[in-house]
Amino acid sequence: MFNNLFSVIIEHFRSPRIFLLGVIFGFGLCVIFGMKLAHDGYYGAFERVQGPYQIDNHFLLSASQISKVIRSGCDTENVLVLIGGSSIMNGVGQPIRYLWSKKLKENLGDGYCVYNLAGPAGALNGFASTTMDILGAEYKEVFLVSDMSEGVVHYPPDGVMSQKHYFWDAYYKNMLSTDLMNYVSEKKALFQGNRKKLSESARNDLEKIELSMLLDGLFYYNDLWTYIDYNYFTSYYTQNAGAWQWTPRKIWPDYDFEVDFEVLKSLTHYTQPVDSEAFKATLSKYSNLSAYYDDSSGGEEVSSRYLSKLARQIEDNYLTRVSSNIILAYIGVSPYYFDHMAEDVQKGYEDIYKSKAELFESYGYSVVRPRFEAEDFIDPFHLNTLGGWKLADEVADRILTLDND
Amino acid sequence: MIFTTFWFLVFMFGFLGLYYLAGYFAVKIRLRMLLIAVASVAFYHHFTGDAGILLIVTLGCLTYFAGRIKNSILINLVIFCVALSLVFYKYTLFIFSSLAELFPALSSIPASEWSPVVAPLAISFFVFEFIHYLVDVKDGNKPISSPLEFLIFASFFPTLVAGPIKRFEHFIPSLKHGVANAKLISLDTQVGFLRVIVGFCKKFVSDMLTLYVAGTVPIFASYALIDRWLIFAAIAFKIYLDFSAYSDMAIGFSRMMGVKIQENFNWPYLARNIKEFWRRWHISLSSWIRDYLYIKMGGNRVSPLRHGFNLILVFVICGLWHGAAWNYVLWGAYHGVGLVFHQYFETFILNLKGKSFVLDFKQRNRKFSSFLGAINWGVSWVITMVFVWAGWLLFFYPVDQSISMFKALFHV
Amino acid sequence: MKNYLTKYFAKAISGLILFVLGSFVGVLAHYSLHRLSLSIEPFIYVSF
Repeated sequence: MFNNLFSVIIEHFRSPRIFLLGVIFGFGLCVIFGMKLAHDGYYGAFERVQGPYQIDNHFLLSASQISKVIRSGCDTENVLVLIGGSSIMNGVGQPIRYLWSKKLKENLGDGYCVYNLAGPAGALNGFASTTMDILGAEYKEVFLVSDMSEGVVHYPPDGVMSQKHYFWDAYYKNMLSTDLMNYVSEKKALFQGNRKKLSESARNDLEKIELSMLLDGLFYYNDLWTYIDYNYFTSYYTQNAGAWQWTPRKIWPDYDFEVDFEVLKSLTHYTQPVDSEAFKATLSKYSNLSAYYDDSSGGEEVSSRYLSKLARQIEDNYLTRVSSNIILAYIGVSPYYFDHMAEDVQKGYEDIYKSKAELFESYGYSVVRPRFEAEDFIDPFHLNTLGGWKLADEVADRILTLDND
Repeated sequence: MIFTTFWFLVFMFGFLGLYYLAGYFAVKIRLRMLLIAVASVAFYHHFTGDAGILLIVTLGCLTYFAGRIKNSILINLVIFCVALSLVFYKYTLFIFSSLAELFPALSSIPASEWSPVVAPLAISFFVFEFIHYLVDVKDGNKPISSPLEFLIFASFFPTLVAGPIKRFEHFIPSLKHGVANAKLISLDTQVGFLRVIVGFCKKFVSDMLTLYVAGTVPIFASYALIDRWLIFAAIAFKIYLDFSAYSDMAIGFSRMMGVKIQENFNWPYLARNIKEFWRRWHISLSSWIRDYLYIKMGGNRVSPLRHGFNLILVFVICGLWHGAAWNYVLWGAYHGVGLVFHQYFETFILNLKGKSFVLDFKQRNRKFSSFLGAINWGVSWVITMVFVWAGWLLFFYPVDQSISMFKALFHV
Repeated sequence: MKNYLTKYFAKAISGLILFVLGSFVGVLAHYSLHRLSLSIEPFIYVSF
């Protein structure tokens, strides 16, 4: 009947030359707008990289936008402090009003700018480390703060899957330092070797991210369409969006509701009963406890094989070249949960921390370990505001010391 | 979906660039034919590796030579081999595990050790094309003489992965016309590109529906009645938009090469009965099934009982073609039963004793009949859609879940 | 003369429609590239 209606109509307009010109015009106009947006920036000031701005909620944060926000919000005479790492550093569990990175800024005082670029599932390498490289030469001093969770150094410079696009965005738009560009070409073989160990779908995803960012470097589609997402309407159905479906991203709320400080304190989960065995399984899965238990020495000390592997990874990591400006915070597990662990698990956990911290320090990284109480946590791993503030105090002290040296 | 990858886009536009460029050479026809063949092989190799290539090449060679020799015994033998390879690659594990459920003694043999784990990409499509080719040649059609043309027919990359299932009598002339006449600035490119973009847009909507369905189906019963119907419709549109998007892109990319491919969908959700639905949905498959299964089994020239049985059998095979699992069999049987019901209703109720009482009624009540016609249109459309959409529940979900979801559509 | 003008305008209008349609398709193509970058399989959160 009227199948492919458009085609039937268009077959009556026989002027392919004009149509082609139209296509080139429309596409070209988009490219020009995209370029302009990448150059001028549209992204507003932010307290942290919230859920709505993560790729799994269909938003591509671009390196051009973040560096633009920082450039316009922070004078180059200042010291720039960038926070990377996981959801713990992002401050999941802390309302914006009481966010630890705000407290950090307060503690550091004038002359310091703090930007929280940590994201869920993030690691040492990621948004923050890439931004550090982009802006490194422009600022008086740049510090990178991250957590020392398991896996932090196991990544190539583009970081974890959810943040890789950011690195390749900067890479294909020539925003990275020559040093880092050279490093990427030097280590190509290593990265490709690591890639072979991945599953096929993960490999495809990696190829896809790189290829899409390569083309984005030519056509600037991400900057243009995230701009429309951010300011006008979100064109992608997002499961977590709730009532904010289709609305501009900039009005989407933060994932931690603003609550009163007293209410906040009462919300902590630290007194929930713990199933020790189940918790041990969780720990073994996410922290490298197996490295301790599988040791041929009979579980007395951390496996040397594990440590030498870690040492190799730290050596291979580009960030080790600027390690004197990197502060790693050890958060660990909530003391309430720690107390519920068997003695051998506790020992393993502590031993791993100590050997890791020593190793990082031997490569020039700074490690801080605030003393947390049970009520500093909102769950086994995430800090609430009380914990966040302790972290802020400790990190601020360390930055001030390092900066004065 | 392969078409929505950056790899494919770079591949496709790189290919198209060379293809249009080849038009400036005197030997453009041969050059373009070679280009399509090389691109098709490279495309298939990229997604399946050496093993997949080996299978399609072996089956293709068998089909080509059987077609050239034109010996009906040989052709039958090759049809059997080709069909057997489909059964082997796609259904061994399914048949074995189904048998193991009936005879528990069998389950001690680990099936995965000797049966193929993954079927080569697109095997269901090219096997159907090969069978069509062989049957048509056996029935007296002129076979493809050029090996290069046959290679392109067997592996034409825009339609290789998910159809439309081509007919060589239509495809080869269209291909020849395409390679001789394709130009960058042409109506073909204009229409083709537009079609590709329409396909992309459909795919994006379908992706969003997939997310919506994935998030809502697990808590289906907790939604208000109207939302349940919305989810029900979302499931139906998700599969339609996804599949027709693929066909649009295949047709569009081919058209950009100057090659016209047969349509695969014709607004299936406007169908007013199940028979009409199958004339509008996945046309290249349903017409294949009609020509090479249904008609070969006797079509409608057999007794009503046999006819009904044939319809159900044909649709069970159609269901099984979609995937090696019981829910597809059930989905096929469900449509088969629906068609039988429609057929019997048409033959025995509407057309009592060979005289259409509907026509009779219309003639006697002219004024009233147009009103009734509209009612009839609406009611039959609603019944057809509820039937077809409920079928998608069987297609996607386990039987008990489908039934409970369907029931939930009718009680608050 | 009148006939010539009608013809001329008809051609100009159909050209304009085609140009606008083409531009729209160009914009959609640009958007498609962005959408393709987004559809990465969801990943499991491993936050620590």
